[in-house]
Amino acid sequence: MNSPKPAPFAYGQIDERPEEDPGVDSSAPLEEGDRDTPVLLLEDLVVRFKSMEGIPITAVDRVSLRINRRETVGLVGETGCGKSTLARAALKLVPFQEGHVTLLGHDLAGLRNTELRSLRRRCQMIFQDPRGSLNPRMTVGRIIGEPLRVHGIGERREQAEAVREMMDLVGLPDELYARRPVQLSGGQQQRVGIARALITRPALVICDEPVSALDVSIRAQILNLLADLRDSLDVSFLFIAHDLAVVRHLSDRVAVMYLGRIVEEGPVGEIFAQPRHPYSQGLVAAILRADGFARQRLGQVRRLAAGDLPSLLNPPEGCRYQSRCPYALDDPCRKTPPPDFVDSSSGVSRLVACHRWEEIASDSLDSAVLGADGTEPDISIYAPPQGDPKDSVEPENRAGE
Amino acid sequence: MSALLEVKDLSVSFETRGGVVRAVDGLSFSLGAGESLGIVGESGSGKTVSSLSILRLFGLFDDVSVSGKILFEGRDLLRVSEAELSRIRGGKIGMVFQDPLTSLNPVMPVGEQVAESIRFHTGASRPQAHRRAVEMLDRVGIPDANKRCEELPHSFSGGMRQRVMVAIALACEPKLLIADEPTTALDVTVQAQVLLLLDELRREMGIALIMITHDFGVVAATADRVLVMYAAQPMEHCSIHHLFQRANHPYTEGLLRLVPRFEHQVHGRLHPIEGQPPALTEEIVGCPFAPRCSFTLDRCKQERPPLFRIGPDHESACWLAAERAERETLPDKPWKAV
Repeated sequence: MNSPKPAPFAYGQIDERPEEDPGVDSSAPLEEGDRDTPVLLLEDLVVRFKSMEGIPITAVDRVSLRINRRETVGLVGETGCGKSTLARAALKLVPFQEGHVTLLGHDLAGLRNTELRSLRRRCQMIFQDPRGSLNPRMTVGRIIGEPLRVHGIGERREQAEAVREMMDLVGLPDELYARRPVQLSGGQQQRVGIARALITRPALVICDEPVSALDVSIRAQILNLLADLRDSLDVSFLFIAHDLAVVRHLSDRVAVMYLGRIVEEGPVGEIFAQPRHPYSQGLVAAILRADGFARQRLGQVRRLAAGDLPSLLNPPEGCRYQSRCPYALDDPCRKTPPPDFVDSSSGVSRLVACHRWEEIASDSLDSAVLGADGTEPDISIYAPPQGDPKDSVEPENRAGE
Repeated sequence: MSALLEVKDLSVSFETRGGVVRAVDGLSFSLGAGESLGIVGESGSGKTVSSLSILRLFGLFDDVSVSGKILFEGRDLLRVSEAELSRIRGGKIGMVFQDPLTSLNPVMPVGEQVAESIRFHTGASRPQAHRRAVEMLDRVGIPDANKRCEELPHSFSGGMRQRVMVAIALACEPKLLIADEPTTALDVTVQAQVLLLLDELRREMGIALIMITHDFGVVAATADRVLVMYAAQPMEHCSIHHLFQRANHPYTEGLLRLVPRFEHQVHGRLHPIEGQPPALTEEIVGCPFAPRCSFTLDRCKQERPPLFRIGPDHESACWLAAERAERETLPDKPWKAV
């Protein structure tokens, strides 16, 4: 399928809002601040759940994140690190206990329901499973137009027109308008999901693993489409994925999450070229690059990302990564959680939540971690790390399983 | 040295309501003791069926017709008796599947699941098998193996479950291990750990490996040689070194350009292959990749290209193979070290 032509859609001008019939629109559009107002601002966000046994689980722990207008931020981390919860809390789809969420300049805490609803029109989601997230009994045209009906935007004919324009934008041929999701290929289904998310002209689109369920050849098409949309539309993306190569491909900035905390955040090139946090280093080492050196590189995983994710029911004390970290010290790593350090050594500022980031950045730890003869120390991936047994990496009773 | 496994002109087809599906079409390869081969392809390319045929695991398909030969230590597995085959399955040939949770028995302690296979294949006594099972679990990196062997699969994380699967597969010291997308369901760091473990144990124990995957990264990390499949047919067969340095077949080259890579610029563009793979129920005349290929000749549409030998350890099923082998390198130099 061809990648879409540049948008014929009057999408770009957020300040001159697209014509909508104010009579049908139930609530007047909210003020959205100027171009410098971040689309999404999270400040010390905390989300807690209770496990089945009633034990509190902190899924998102004091997370701050800013997404500027037209910016694509990647959120990476492994299963259970809280990245999807974070995204849902940002739209108040799950309640949060502490902190502030500011969407387009509005603090969610102070909003009435109608206001929240009107704001949600400007924030949409794209889901992982394209088939499961489309109503099988609705036609493609209806699915894509549904958000317009829900929010009462435009009249019927305008809605149909907008749907066709949107289908063109995401590369869906017009004849699919009356088809149902089962009649489409996986790639086309995901295009429908993307079209549905964009039809209300959102300021923020949250993509939760949008390509991980797709076959490689389709994945490339969808990634190209997302890249085109990112470049041509006035929209910010929060891009959640566990595949780092994909995140690197699309994002401007990246935040790395581990056990509910953002451990590192910064511009995509810097983070992947020189990860500062030991966990980011482990993630980067674990990427299986398709070249002749994969085997040699993989050996580093043993040192940097040994063991399993600890249980959220009983997270390690101090730094949350200390149970797997080759650089962890008893004091401070196992005692106090690291604050967010700002590293501006490379000219751009990035955040690292690691007590020892400066030593790691200057590579002065290599001699300490490597043996005296330059060989790697024996931190076997087969054995749990030394230290307090309650910090053990045993995954028993993992939350959410 | 005679090969451990020799697959000769294997074809597998299924009779379905939609017509005859040709799942494998003219596949040949050989694998020496201790060698590792990656079989790569998109969904529906026939990579899984070719590996299941080695153990005749066709399951639900009654109307399956198989031709060709699968010689394992000189015996044709397509012709041995069921009884003999069940000694080989899990004994001399181990398997690891994608989803450990559905492959493990949910109501049997993991230790017993490892011991079960040991007892069946070696005739060891219960205590002997149990001891060996604990030893094996310890070896694949289950902490506190002697305690945890009493637990049920659900109390293990995904990575730990896959380690249990590896323990079962390797418990009887097989000659050959077949791994079908063993890490697709796992997180990145856990995937890397499991692959590292597989590779190490395999080398230590001198086991040959067939790694089935859609991910060139997994192949790069575990295989010595690669077989690229498309529409049930082998397209290219080469060493891992050749794959990344000088892939010959246009399809292989296309696959390599599909994935975002770290060697590329941060916001580079991907190059999807235009069009769709052919339906396996269709009669394919000529090269199956011809309709999507940008180098198609008239000949490609009429005659199926054989696997041309274009160098030591390198074969390519393309009429242009010899010509393309002359090219210096791939344009985007994917093999450059970082």
